[in-house]
Amino acid sequence: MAENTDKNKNILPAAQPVAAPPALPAQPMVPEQAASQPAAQSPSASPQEPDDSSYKLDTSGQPKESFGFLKNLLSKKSAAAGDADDGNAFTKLFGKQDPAMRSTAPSLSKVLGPQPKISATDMFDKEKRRRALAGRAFGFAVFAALAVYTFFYLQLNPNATILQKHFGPNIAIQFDASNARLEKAKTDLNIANYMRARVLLDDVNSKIDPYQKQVAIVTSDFVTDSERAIAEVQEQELGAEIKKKLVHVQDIFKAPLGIDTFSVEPVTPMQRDQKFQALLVQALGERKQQLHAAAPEGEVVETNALDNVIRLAENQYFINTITNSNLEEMETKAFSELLENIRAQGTDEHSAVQNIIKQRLRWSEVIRDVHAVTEKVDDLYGLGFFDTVGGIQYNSYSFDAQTGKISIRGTTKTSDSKTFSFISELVERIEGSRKFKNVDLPSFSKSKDEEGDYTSSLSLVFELQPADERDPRDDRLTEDLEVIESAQPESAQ
Amino acid sequence: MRNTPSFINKSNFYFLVVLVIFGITVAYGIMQYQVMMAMKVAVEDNESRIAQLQEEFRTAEDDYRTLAADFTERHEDFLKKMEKILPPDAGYTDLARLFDNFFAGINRPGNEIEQNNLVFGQPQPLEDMNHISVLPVSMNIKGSRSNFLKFLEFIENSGTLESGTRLMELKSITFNFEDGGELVKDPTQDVTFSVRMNTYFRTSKVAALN
Repeated sequence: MAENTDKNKNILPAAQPVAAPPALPAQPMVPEQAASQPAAQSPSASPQEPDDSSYKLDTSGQPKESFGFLKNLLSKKSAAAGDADDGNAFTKLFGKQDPAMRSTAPSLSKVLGPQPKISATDMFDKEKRRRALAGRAFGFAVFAALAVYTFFYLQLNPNATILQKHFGPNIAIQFDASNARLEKAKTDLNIANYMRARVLLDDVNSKIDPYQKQVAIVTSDFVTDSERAIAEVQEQELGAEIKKKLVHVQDIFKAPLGIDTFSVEPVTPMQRDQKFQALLVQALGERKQQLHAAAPEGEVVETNALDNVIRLAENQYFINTITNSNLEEMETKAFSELLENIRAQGTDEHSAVQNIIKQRLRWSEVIRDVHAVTEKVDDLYGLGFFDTVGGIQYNSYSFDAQTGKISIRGTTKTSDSKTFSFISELVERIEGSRKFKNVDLPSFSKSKDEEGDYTSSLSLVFELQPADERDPRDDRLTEDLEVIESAQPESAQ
Repeated sequence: MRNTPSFINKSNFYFLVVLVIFGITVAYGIMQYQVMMAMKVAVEDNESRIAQLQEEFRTAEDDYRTLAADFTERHEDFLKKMEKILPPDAGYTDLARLFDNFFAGINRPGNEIEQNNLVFGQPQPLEDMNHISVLPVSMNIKGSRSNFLKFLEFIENSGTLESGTRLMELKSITFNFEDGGELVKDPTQDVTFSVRMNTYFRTSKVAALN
């Protein structure tokens, strides 16, 4: 109890108001409360308590009877001793209290109201109850948290398969499976589309050569008007057919490869297309392996088609070339170039064959070019007059496609001593030709035979000059030689 | 005076902790619920999209089969020629027969040609087109000038759809004239020549798979 009292003491000052607002209604005091109030805390109970109403302000703002006790003191000072019955010292000093005022003035206890019931025990019990409640709430919160976490873990984790036997796959597994099925469906569609595109491109490929042939006839200066007219019609028909198929191919290539699947991480359209392109190639490879395993000796055409489709799917540059072409507004020349480009970039077998053919050297033409250049120096070359007239005679040729080098061994014969000049002219002719370059003839030697002719062995090494390459020596030497050729008849005259 | 506030604050603190846990749980639950609902919606949505894709796939596959059948029908000759131009394997024996047939076809009395030997190298895929392999071949031949030129033409026209012969390419050629110098206008002049060439074929499926 002592502790409680102490606690009560501790609490009381904090709970005790300094002054109650005057507007508070006066509360009737319960007798028990009044009895328990200490005297110091209940000033209204004391008879000597000064009337606090004397300190109140009236409505005019002036103190009400604020100096009444001084007036009383001055007027009654002389009669104070014999007039003891009139009251005690306070009464004499301050005058008698107005009974009306006494009955209406609220006491402090009335102003403060009932003493609040504050008990340390109650507080402790209340705190204990709050703690218990908090404990139970904590337990519930933790339980709820665990329950929520467990529930969502079991639902949203594809590896949580513990309840799968009883409740089936959770939503995450269903989600993954659904996405996988969606991707597979899209990949299957991509395969079918790319196989369609491949067939259409094969069809286009088969028409490129006939089309280019007609274009060549139309642009040629060596055909009759009727031939040109027929070629123009065929060119237009073939061109329209090819364009129609290419537009179809464009539609296939322009369609997005990927499909938007729900995912936690954001995916850009480019990333999506790259992913689906990889899936396409992978699926085609798997299909090819299945075909190979099922029919290793057969289904050659089918596996070849798959090979071509795989290469097509991997050839993004080729796809872009076709996709970015404006076929509708393309003129004949541009269209012809596009077809050449399609042929060059195509990774199908026919295009590959055509590319090898295009790069292949035609050695018979090279031999003819050598003859043509030689005949400019010796117009009787190869006609069987070497022994009698002299000139140039080749005994052997050697061509190497890898290095583009040509080696020729032979002999020259001149009736005068200007054998080296004769050989020099041959060298210059070869160098000046647009077909050859880099002639190598490091040494000259000659001998005089029994008939007085000068002969010299010849070992020429030079290179093929690519058609699109220009050698500065070509023009200069050719022009010089042309000048020499044109000047010679004049000097002779 | 010190014990009382802390005494009171403890329960408040506990309630605060509970509130925080509860708040986190609710927030976590709402977020996960939204994810779960999104997944459910996605699954339902995917089903309809899958059905649509499968329908498109059936249409595309039917279209492909029609196109392929049409292409095969119209280009049967093309496909057969491609099989000859680019056979599915090295085909040494077929190649040997091809040369024998060619030389036998142009060999005439007074305008002869004779293949003295035929050597095959090691086949290998091309670097830039590994779906096509190359088989090196070399041979020594003696024949008339006109037959020599026919041989060059035969190689140079190989691989085209018009010729329908296997794709070949001369890599090097050396020829000389036995009886002195070259006679351009004499088709019967004897020419001895040795050639090194490449023949092509589709890279073996087994090799490609490996």
